This record gives sequence, structure tokens and C-alpha cells, in this order.
Amino acid sequence: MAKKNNVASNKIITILGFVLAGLLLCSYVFILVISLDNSKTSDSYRLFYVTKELRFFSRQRDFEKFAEGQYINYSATGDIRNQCEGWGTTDENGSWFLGNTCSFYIYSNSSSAHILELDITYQLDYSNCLIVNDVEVGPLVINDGKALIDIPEGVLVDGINKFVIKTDDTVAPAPDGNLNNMNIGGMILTSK
Amino acid sequence: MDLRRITELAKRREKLMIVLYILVLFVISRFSMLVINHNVFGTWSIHEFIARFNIWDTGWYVNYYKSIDAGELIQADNGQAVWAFFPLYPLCIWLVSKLFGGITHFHIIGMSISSICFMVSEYFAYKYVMLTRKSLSEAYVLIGFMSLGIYSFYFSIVYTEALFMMLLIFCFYFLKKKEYIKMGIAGALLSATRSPGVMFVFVVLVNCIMEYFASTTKGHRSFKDFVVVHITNMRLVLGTFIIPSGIFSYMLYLKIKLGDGFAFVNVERGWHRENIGVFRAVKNAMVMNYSLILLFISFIVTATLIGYMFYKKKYDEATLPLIILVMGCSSHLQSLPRYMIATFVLLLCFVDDYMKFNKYFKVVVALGAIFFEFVFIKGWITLDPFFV
Repeated sequence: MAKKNNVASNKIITILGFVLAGLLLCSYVFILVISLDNSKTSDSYRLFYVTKELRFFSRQRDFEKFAEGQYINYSATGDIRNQCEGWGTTDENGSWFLGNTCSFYIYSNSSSAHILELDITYQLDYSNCLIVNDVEVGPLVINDGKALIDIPEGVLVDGINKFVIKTDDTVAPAPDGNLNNMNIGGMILTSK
Repeated sequence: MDLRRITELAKRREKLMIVLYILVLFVISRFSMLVINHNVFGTWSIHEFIARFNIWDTGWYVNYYKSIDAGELIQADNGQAVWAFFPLYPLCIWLVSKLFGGITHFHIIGMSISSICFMVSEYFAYKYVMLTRKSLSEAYVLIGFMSLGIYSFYFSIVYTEALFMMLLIFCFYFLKKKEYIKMGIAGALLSATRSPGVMFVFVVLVNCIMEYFASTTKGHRSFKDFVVVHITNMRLVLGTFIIPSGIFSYMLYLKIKLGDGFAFVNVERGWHRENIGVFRAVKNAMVMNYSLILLFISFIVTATLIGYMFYKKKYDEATLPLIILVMGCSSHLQSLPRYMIATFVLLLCFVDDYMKFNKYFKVVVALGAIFFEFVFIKGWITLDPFFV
């Protein structure tokens, strides 16, 4: 009788053990699946750690300062933490372009029409194009060190927006080694 | 007195001698650290000694302690953050601190925890050697190298090496004793100490394959039979499944706290590290830079030892160092020596062959190991980046 009871309790322990192992496996799969989704992280977290787009880390409260209506100073005394790839060194004039594409992020309050104004220290003498949220907006026309470009309604989103400047890649490298000799001193995004 | 009682007393005496040996070597080795600190900085101050030895990542473990206390994970302005480090070790410091009424001598608590873990790991190293090699003299030699040999200073500072090594030896010991639930619990704690700990599941798998091959003859082996034999072993299955619970619990915590379960991987960006693969990392180290050349040499020595372990058919013991070598070197070679010394089995493999050396060569090698440990201690306290 005692032997029978022992066998029965051993069976129960074995079954419970397998159930527990199964539960552990299910919980691992569940944690793995929910961990693959990082959409609930802040913009600064996602763009720096996950997609690795931002050059520098900034806390969300600082990152939100790169917003419409705020002048973003790209000189050595300013703040360049909204920059992504395609930027070289920063000096008293601004940030230097590196290669043929540079990009940055700016917060917008709405999807209405906006104007992006850029301070460009060195004039471009080759073709370029501004792309906002993967939509080609048009070329930057530079006059007296400034470039103004209209962003039509519906291109921007309420929240974080990606701006990309692409330049003609047939241009010969500049003497300092940069492929495109362009320097952006700062920018401001305003609603129309 | 009957034979059983005599054997029992002899065994007890053997254990007592091992404990005394561990304690004596611990005092000698840690006193030598104090002497080297005095020779370099000209002070016997314990305060100075603690400050000089607890550098580099130590600050992050202290920050982690503060994070646990404040309930808020600390993040630096450059993107580096405490969640790059695994929580068990700082949690131990926090628990001990609370047990002693909230004392905040983090370094003293951390060093005490590391030192205790180190001595426990030496004791279990003895038990493991007796179980797998059945050689008391080898156990003594192994403990000697662990205490006085190269990199042993890592096991008494506020770093995870001692805790990791202790838990890893537990895992190996209980695996070989077929006490799989205990192995699983130690493995869970191991995977909560450092991410490579979870890879012990592969050691279990390799061990199962080796045992299967040893217990069956060629004509009677099949994949189906292998699966059936092992999957019906509840304790083995459950024990193995418990191992990843440490790392998955941490992932769940990070998901709840930060919204990213892989935050401990992604945070590497804060240190400007990216996965470039072992070959590129090794290639990057092959430049004439003192620190990197030393790391390159460490890589070659480690890779050779692991290869030798495979050659000697110690597949189960060689598996984890191989995985840690590949994981640890996928972005850079930094920290490779301390990762490797904490795997314990590499040193054991070396000691296996050391036992076959002639006595003069043994003396030369032992003195060499002690000499280099002194050089490395000096390198550590003078902030040589090789030891980070």
C-alpha cells in the first residue's frame, strides 16, 4: 500500500514538474514576444538605442526642445542632439555636412503647412533636395546665407519628424575632405 | 572504530584542511594586494586601498545599488545606464546593506560579498575536482592558482566575477551530480548575474549528448532515442528550463520599467559599442597598441586553450568558454581576460595538464603565475585600460 502511494505521489510530482517546465517555456516565449515591441519607449530612447539614428543621447525632456518655433543653433555653443547621420564636426559657424546626406529630427505641433528656415554659412553650388518623412519636398534655394522652404500640408505629422537633405553626389570633394562643402548654422521650423 | 567511521573522519579532516588552505591562501593573496598598493602609492590606508581597487565598472554597481534604493534606474547624460549590468550582484549588496541597518559602505559590502563567493567557489571547485578528476592534489593546485594566479584580484573587488564563478561552479557540480533542480536554481541566478550565464543550457545539452554516447553502443544510437531518453527525465527538463528564468525576469522588469525588454543589449550604444563580429574585433586589436596587443594575446591564448579542451574531448567544459569568447568578442576584446578567468573551466583545463609537468617546470610556472598576478595588480590600480 505504502509502495503504491509512493508511486502515485511520484507520478504527480513528475506531472507537476512537466507542467511547471511548460509554464516556464510559455512565459519565456511571452516575454520574448512582448520584448520585441518597443513602441512604448520614448522618442529619444528609440532613436538613440533601438534604431541608432541619433548621434548623441538626450533625455526625452531635452529632445522635445527641438520643436517648431524654437531656433535650433548648430554652432559650437548650440545643441546638436537632434542630428542623425551625415554630420561632421561642429565649429563656431555651425555643423559641417559629411558625405551626401544629412538628417535631423524636429517636433511639430500639427500637420499643417510649415516653413523651414536654415542658416547656411556656405552656399551650395550643386543640386540638393529636402525630404521630410520620406516625402520629397523640393530643393533648398539659398539667398544671403539663408534657405527657406515651404513644407506643404500633410507632410509633417503631429510629433517627431525626420528631415533629410540630399545633395548631388557627383560633386568633387572639398579641400577639407568633406564631399560636400556645406555648413548649417541653425534652423527654425514655423507654421505658415 | 569501524571502517566507515574512519573513512568519515578522514573525509571530514580532508574538508577541514581544504577550508583552512583556502582561508590561508586568501589572507596571503589579499595581503599581497595591500602590499602592492603600498609599494605603488606609499600608503597602508585601508580606505585608500579600497578606493584604488574599486575602479572602472565598480561605480556602475554602486549606481545600481542606488537605483534599487531609489526605485529609479540611473542613466548618465551620455546614454550609459545601469541596466547594462545585470541585477543580482547589486541586489546582493543592497540586501546586505539593508540587513546591516542600511549601512552605505558599498565597496566594503561588495568586496565582502565577492570574497565570500570566491572562497565558496574554491571549496566547490575542490568538490568538482574530486567528483570529476578524483585527485586531491589537483584540487589543492587548482585552489592555489585560483587564489594566487593571474587575475585572482578580480574576485575580491566590486565586480561580478566572483559571484558568477561561484554560481557557474555550482552549475557544473550539480550537473555532474545529476541534481538538476539545484543546477537549474544556480543557473537561474547565474543568468541574473551576467547575460552569458543563460548559455549554460548548451552545456547541459552537450553533457547529455556526451553521456548518451558514453552509455550506448554505436548500433543502438538514434536521435529519436536520445530525445525520448532525455525529454522523459522531468528533473533534467525542469532544471534546464529554470536556467533562463534569471535573464527573462530581468527582461520582463526592463519591459515594465523602460518599455524595452532588450534594453540591456541596446544600451551598449551608450558605450559606442556595436556588434561587428569576432573577426573584425580581433582585427581591430591587431594594431601596435600596448593594451590592444595584450588583449589580442589573451584572445589567442584563450582560443588555443578552448581548442585544446575540444581536442581533449572535454566538450561539456569547453562549450561555455567558447560561447563567452564569441559573445564577448563580438564588439571588442576589452574585458576578455576577466570574462575568461571567471569561466573556471579554462583554469581547470590548464591545471589538468600542469599536474603532468615535471617538478622544476611546475615551480617555474607557479612562480610565473604569481609574478604576473603582481604585475597585473599593479596595472589594475594604476588604471591600465587593459584590465577594464
